Amino acid sequence: MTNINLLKWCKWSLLSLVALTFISPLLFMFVASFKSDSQIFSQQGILQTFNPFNGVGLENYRTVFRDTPFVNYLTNSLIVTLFSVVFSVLVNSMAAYALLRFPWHHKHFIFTCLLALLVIPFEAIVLPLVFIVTNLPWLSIEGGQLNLTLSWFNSLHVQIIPELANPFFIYLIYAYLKSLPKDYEEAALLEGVSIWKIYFFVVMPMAKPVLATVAILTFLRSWNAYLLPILVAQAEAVRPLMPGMQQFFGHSTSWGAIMAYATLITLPVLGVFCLLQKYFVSGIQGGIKS
Amino acid sequence: MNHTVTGLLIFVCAVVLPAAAKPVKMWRTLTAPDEMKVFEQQVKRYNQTHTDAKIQIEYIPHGNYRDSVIGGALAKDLPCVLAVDQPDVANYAWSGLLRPLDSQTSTDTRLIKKETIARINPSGIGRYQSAIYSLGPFDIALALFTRKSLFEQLDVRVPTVEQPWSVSEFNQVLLKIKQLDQYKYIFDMNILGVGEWPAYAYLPMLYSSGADLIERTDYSKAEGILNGRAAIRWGEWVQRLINQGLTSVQFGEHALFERGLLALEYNGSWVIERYKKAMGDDLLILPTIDFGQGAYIGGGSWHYAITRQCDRPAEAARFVEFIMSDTEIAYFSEHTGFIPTSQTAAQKTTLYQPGGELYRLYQMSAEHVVMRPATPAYPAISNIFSQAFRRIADGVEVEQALDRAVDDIEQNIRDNRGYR
Amino acid sequence: MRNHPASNHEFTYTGLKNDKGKARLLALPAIGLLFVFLVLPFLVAVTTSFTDKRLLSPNQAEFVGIENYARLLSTKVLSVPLEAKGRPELDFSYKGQTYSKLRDLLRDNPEFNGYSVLYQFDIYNNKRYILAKDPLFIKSLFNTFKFVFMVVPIQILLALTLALVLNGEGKLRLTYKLLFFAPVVTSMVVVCVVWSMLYQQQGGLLNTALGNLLSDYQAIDWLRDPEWAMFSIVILSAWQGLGIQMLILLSGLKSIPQNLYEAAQLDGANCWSQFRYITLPGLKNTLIVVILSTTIFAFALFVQVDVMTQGGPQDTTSTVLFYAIEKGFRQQQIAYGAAVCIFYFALIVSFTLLQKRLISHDKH
Repeated sequence: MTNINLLKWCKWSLLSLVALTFISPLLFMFVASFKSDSQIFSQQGILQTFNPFNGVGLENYRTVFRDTPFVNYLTNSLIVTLFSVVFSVLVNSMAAYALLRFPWHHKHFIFTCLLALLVIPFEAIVLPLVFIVTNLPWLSIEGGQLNLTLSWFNSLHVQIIPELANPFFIYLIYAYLKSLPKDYEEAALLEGVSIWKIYFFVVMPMAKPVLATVAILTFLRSWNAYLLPILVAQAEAVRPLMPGMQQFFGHSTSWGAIMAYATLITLPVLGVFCLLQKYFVSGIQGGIKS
Repeated sequence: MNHTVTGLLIFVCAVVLPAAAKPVKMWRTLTAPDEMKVFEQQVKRYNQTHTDAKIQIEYIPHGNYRDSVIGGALAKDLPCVLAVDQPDVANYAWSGLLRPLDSQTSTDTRLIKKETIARINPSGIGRYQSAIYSLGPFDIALALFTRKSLFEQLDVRVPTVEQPWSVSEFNQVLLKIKQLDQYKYIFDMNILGVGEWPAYAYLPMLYSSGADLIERTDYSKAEGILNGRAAIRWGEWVQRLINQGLTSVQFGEHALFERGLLALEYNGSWVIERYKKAMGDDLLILPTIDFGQGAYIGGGSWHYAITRQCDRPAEAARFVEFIMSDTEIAYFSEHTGFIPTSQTAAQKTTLYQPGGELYRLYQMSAEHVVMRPATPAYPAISNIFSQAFRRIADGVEVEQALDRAVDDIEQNIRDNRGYR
Repeated sequence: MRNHPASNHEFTYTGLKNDKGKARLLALPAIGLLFVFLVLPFLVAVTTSFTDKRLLSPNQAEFVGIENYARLLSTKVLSVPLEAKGRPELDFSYKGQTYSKLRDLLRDNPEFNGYSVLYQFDIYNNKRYILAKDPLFIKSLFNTFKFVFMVVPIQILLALTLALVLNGEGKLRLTYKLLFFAPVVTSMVVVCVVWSMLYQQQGGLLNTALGNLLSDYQAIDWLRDPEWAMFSIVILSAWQGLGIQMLILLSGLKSIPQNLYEAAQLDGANCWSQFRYITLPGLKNTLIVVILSTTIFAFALFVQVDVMTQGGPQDTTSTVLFYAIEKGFRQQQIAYGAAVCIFYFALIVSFTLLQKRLISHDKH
């Protein structure tokens, strides 16, 4: 019996060692953000290297806020992420619901088209997308005046709208809704409740798990967005966090400050992840598997 | 769709602040803080007297300014006044982004006075075909930066503008510094410099070796020019320095020169103010190296142009006139240490007037200057050259790297139907 | 993925007729957006790839037929006889002319117009040159395959090992699962930046660690050594992504009936044969899905290259997608970039079809 216990103990300590090594890049990022360059490269030994308290304190964080428009980037990313998540959930679930519950001519054909769209990778169409968004009109109000712009380039909405509708999400929600009984909805219909109300107050609450999945996948994609913004959102005023990070990485003269920036944009996500890990795990599992 | 549009509209309304009198927008590169402060002072002064058309500056990071301009053109959102790197002017003019500043045809109005243009040195003027598209109040120079204290220990000749170091002399200097063994790093020529740096910094070296980026008659041929014997010799020199450990591609640490870890640096005059602050009188500025055809520096720095998309060109031109006046050119030079682009303005400065501390630099920029080729193909050429240089630094056979650059440049020109 | 939109999920309520329009309205945003931002760009990509359109140019776009594709894929083999022994300096003779440099030969003969050397090798008394019109694209394609063939096995073997070890319930297990999953939610840009520091030749954590472990270790310049750069990208990509594969494999493991193992244990089967005869067959479908989704994902390699190496050193990390963006956007040759994208699309589609075939094959 003790033999088995010993074996178990060995296995778990080995695993712990592997896990620590595995996670060390993230730990290092965190620790290095409190150090100056010479400290990062001169401190020897594991204990010294991974001790955050023998450095320069919050100096690097001050540098980030002083030398980069970090707050501006953060605001942009928050806006883009928030709108993307909300509207992605709405747009895709509405479509899935309408396709499932209502009679459509050529429903089968519509579905085949939708599934065919799944194979077009975003990367393959991103170049013509650049070309298309530079020729789309947009209305905004500036200084009390209605203002017509003839291009979506360098804006926040160009980072939100093109990726909202997603055939995969529609399919995911569709499959989930299919497993739900339609009795409640039909009962509500008979009562004369409008379609919109049924959608908001009956369907959406029931579909919470799959909507959480879609929300999380959209959240990760928008927060970590890189390819689209480096192409169509190059202006400082609309730049989100990740291209900002790449830029800072290219120009900064201090590894410590770069790691501080990296820590600042990673910790919130890791925090949200720890809180909602159940949804994350099932969300991503469900997301990839289908 | 309704939801999305209204939602976003509401958001857009909320974030865009209402503005009073519509300002004239301009883009400028994000450079050293001191330099930007000086420029902001100028703009402030201008705005006090021109309240109807105030200038509103937006700063764009240096490394991807070119991308930003293309982005702005795609967004149909270029500002009225656009700072442009002088060698890119031909391309922007060809693409139809800029307005000519002098009248070329009867339909264009003359935006800038003849007298203003007449005062400006060639490096302060951006031309394409027969028209002028941009004006620049300052120039910068390339130089070698080192410490007086180091040179007091070395037994070497200190070079002058009249008699710069030959490349073999320079190699000897590096070896002597190495033998001295006081500095962790010997020479930094900013090999990984991004954007326009490689073409700006290394074209003078190439030119001094007897090579060039492209043939300058009809700008369509690079064969034998960029990959000739002279260019190959220069590339092999760079590789030798790397292999002998006299210079490095990447240093891993930053701000080496100020911190006393680096003995010698090849850089632009924009670092002078910073280095002066860091080491005071110990700073020693030396002319560039002579690779056989004389020592050269690159000419043409940041200019100001007026875009086609601008709906108030006259007001934009008023600002360009202001910034190009002798008083303002002198003011900018006086506070940044940059080289003025007008003789009459130079006389008003302490550094660059005849007999001034940096008069030699002014001479250097007036006489030993090589401009980058004024062709719409230039941004592509610069990009291709950067890649070739990067390959050379990575250890690819020089001839092979340059042959490929020549092929790419000529291919690019063909792809654009000769940029006609 | 099998789908038969069955009518018994539709409303049967007959009073629905009036609401039908509203229902259409529900689907309209998604359909409209999909059309404008997915179908339309795709059609534009296809049509543009047959022109010489540029992003910003005063020139009108012209129809050029399949020239872009031809340029992408054109290759030729040139065979030059090796001269007699004892002459290291090689002259190139072709059609009776002698050239001192291969490049001169290519530039002098119209049939090699636009070609340059992709690869060279010796066979018997001949020097063979593989020429291509766009060697960088072929190299990028090759690099992409190289990445896929390295990252997929490494990532999946590691993920499988972890899944087998961590399979089961318990707080400790869950903690470890989350730990291994953490890089997945970390942005790839951040991962690249952090690893760039770890990969530093001097003072980088990786080299320091290896230097301490191995006695005569020569510090490798991970990202700037052509031999190692792609491998370095493989390692960090596998590190970032393996959490996903681990999770999917874990859920696959869960679906294997426990009683199979119990029966095997009664029969006295050891760990290996349990793995070989129960786990592996039970995981087969999950594994196929994982392998092919990882493969497709790996083909899209871009961010790592863009942030860390820009395709260098010596083009060893340039990938298809990086090349498409580089040409199509940064060099503004949008038509040529579109052709690369369409090629990439064809590549992905063929892999998706392969996946479909493999899985349906399994069902027979």
